[in-house]
Amino acid sequence: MDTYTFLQLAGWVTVAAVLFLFAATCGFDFGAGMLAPFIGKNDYERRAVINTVGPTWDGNQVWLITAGGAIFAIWPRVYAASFSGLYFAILLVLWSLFLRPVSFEYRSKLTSAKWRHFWDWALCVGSFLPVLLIGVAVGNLFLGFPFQYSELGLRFFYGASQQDAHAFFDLFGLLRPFALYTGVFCVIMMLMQGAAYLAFRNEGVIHVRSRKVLVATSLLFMMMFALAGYWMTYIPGYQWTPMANPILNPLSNVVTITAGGWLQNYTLYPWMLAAPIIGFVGALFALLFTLIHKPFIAFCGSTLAIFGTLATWGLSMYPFLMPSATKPSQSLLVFNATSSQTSLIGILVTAVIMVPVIFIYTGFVYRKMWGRNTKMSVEAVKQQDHVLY
Amino acid sequence: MLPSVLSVDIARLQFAIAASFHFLFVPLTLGLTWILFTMECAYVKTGKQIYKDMTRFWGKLFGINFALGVLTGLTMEFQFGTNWAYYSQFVGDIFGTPLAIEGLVAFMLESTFVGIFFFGWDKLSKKQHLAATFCLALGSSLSALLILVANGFMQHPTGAYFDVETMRMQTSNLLQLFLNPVAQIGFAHTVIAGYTTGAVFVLGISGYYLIKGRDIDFAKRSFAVAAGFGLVASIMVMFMGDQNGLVVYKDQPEKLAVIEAEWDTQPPPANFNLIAFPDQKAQKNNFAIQIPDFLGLLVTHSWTIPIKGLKEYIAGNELRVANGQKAYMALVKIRAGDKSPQTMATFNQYKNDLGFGMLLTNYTSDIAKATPAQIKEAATNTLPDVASVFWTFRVMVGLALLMALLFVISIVMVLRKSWSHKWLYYFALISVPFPFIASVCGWFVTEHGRQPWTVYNVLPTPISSSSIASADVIASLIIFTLFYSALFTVELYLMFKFSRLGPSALHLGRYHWEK
Repeated sequence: MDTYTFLQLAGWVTVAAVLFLFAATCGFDFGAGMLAPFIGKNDYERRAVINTVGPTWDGNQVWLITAGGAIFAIWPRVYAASFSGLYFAILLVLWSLFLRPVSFEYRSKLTSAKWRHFWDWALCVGSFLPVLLIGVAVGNLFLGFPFQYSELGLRFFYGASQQDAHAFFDLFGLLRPFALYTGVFCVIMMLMQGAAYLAFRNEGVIHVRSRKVLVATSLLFMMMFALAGYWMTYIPGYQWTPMANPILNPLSNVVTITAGGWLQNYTLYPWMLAAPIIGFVGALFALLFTLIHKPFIAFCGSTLAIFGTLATWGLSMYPFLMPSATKPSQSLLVFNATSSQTSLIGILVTAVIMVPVIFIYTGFVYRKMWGRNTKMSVEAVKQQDHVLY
Repeated sequence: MLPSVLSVDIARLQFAIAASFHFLFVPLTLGLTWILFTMECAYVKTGKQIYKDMTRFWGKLFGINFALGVLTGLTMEFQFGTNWAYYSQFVGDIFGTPLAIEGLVAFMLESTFVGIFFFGWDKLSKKQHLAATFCLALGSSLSALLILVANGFMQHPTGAYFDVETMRMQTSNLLQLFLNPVAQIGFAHTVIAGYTTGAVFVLGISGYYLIKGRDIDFAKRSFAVAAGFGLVASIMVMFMGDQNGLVVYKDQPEKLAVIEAEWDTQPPPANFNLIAFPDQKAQKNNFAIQIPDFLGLLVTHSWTIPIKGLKEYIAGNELRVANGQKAYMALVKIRAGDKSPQTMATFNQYKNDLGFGMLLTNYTSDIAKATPAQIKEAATNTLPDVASVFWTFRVMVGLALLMALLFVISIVMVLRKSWSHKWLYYFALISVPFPFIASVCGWFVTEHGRQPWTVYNVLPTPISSSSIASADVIASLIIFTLFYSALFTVELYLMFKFSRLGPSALHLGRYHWEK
């Protein structure tokens, strides 16, 4: 393997790792945000939920921003194609994300019940919609997007013609059954992660209710994950024939499409089966350990399930990043959409240095905030009424 | 097919709104974090409770501001992809790098410690909490550094080359990207402007308590910290502004001539247009009040170096557009597979002007067939709107001078322990909007002054945007505007409410409204 190919793969691993960290950490923030109005029956209970993620949601959300930055830097053409191609879907994600910082920060600034009620639901919607839409987008990745490039300037066009895209109508094109299914699946996954975190960090009524949610969502997760695998055998999947210098010929890939094609990687590289297995084992851990009152291990299980799911997504599609349904030969791949060698080295070196540093200081913050056996509860909120969110 | 002119214009408007709105919150974050750190240092050193109360109260206002800073910052990251797809894929290789690094190095630091700043008072030792506040402030300033490195590339592209095969700018040298003089000085000027903003904000609101005669001790100490911090910052910001002028003169001389509305090359040292009414069509100023020799001295720091006027640049650009047309024609041949030495040589000879050739897309459907008249027209329009850049620059400088005056008077009164000057507190209070207006004006000068390019002399704005129908870009613009108006209303409401409440908002039982 030459250096550049190695760096391209390292770039793929880096984006995958950042996406996992986003899904795992923002996952419990999103999950808690969605659950807050439902498992918190009164203001103090809701504040217990919100303040469980209160001290750390901001740092966690940076993984989303870093994921965007990493895709921009490592796969510029994927960033450009996905953000402009999925125009209104992406903007809906953004607009719903708007609701989160203000909900957290402004909700408890005033005492009016109406005011707080409004922000509770804003937080719920702001946590639900991005997860749903990102899930729908990932489902559509498997189905392929309608896009193509112009020959001369490599200008990106969404749709069947090389015209300005009618983005509003294209939004409805995304609502395909499999994509909607993956959207709902992502919501379930994030609810599981949120419930696992709340159960682990809380005592009292929130703990009890979160456990129930965790049991239900981890069961649902396993069923839906299995069904998604079965559904995949019917979906036309893409297969790429290796070629020389793909980076120099992004418009002339040889791509074959066959039903169940996305599962071919598991025949080619049987070790990849580890990914879906980890997904199931993780969810099973989440279920079993919450039943025997080990909330921390249950949370680790849920995190593992997310890892397995993301790995399954990435490895099934490998080396595709964004398949084109209109012109399969113009699909974006890890080998034709990656940045140049110098940029990759710069980003990867920074990541290798910074990620451990981030882990160290983030670990410090979590340890200090939660200490030994510090738990969130309605009583804790009452004690710190004017300090907490 | 290229996106319609309307679609590009609306995308530009949308970006301008998103960036200006973001920049209402960023400078305050940059400045307040260091002021919070200063106050907390006083707390750790003296152990006086009032300094902790100050840190916590101004921290509350900081939090209200920070939430909108975060969410408007998200928009910025999305804008490049949604509305400027061609730009993103054309320069993402180099432009994306500082953005990715920003997340990992700076914003993560800032955002991780912001939580513990608010909620960690009882969970950390005094020194640990001070360290957390330091990380918060450091993170926000580092963040500005990396964003300005990215922005510096748009102003003065260094460290990258155009690659024919991949049709994009590729990184040649990351060090050059980071050491770009435009980025360095832009960073210094921007963050210090932010520090000034934070200081004016604290000074003005403390002035309000002094006018109302409540929480006097709290207000005096806050006023004193802000006056000291602000004096240093406002002197530095003008020094950095001057240095920024030198760099612009060196690396974007055309932009400098736009800022000063200098149409003709004057015998050195050039006169300075204090007030002028530029007429873009006639390429002259209709009316001007000038300060003799001042411009030459200000910008070149010399008596003998001439400053080229805009007409001279336009004449030079006409040749560059013609050369760019040749580069474009060679590029078309190369892309079609003709890699003969002759074609490659033609391309290499003219490739630095390729961007100028692309400017012709606005005037003809086929660049290869552009007429000399069209080339002349394209060259004439290599300028942004001169009048708006000229005036916003003067608003920025005028406000900066006014704020410096405010800080000088304030510090004198603080040092003389003279606390009976209501007019000074009114002056401070009405100054609160000034740094925000000045910051947005500064950005307008920088970014509009770069037109018609997204990457200076490399990538023209009209081809940078996404291929999206104008109706859809208008729709998203409307939704953005609605969202931003609503959120801004809520933010201002809370900001006013908590500013009026003052330290009583902490519910400590010691302040005005609780007695």
